[in-house]
Amino acid sequence: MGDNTKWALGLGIAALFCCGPVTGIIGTFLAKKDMDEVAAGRAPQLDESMAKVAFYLNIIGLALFVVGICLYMGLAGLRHF
Amino acid sequence: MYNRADKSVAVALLAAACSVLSVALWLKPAASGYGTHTQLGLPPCAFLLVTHLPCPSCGLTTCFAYAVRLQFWKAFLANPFGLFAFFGTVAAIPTAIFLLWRRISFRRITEGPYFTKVVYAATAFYFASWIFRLTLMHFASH
Repeated sequence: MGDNTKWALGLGIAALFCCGPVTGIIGTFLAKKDMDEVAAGRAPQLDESMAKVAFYLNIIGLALFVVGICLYMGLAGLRHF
Repeated sequence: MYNRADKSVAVALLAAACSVLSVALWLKPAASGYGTHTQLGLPPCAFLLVTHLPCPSCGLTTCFAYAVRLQFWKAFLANPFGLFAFFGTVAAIPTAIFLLWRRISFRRITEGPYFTKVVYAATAFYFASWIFRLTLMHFASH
């Protein structure tokens, strides 16, 4: 597993629990970097499946953040009526 | 090879940076040091509600609102990482204009040898600034 993937995994977990978009965006970038390296054949020693896990973990963290905001704003709008 | 996608990325970067700074100017910084984003109708920080401690991102909007008014010390106290992010946002404007003007892809920056190191350093600073604010809070409460 590459350093980028390790960091991306940690940041993805942080994005899920407390840090929202900041760590999610950074984690997505780092995981994508490793995925691109493997896809281009520049780093065959990297574990692509773990990089993908880290990538999607960060995407889920970001998506949950957006869904949470939409739910909050939707409920606030409903209460307004 | 410079293409439409590269141009779109530079335009998006420029638009995003200008929007963030405009919103920061429009918002009134919260005196508490966090919670300025609720003026936009966004929810308060769930981490803060549950733990009564600020999350690493708490104070970022307040920091931007102070920094755009050139009150850098207050911005630093709200979130030290936010000040770094603010200068990054300001720097993004001439960078995006330069990329558009010289028809250079943004990938040339992100694939550069130092960009990943800067991302690592920024991440470390993000968490260090959180520890700094928790320490400040700890001493302020005693």
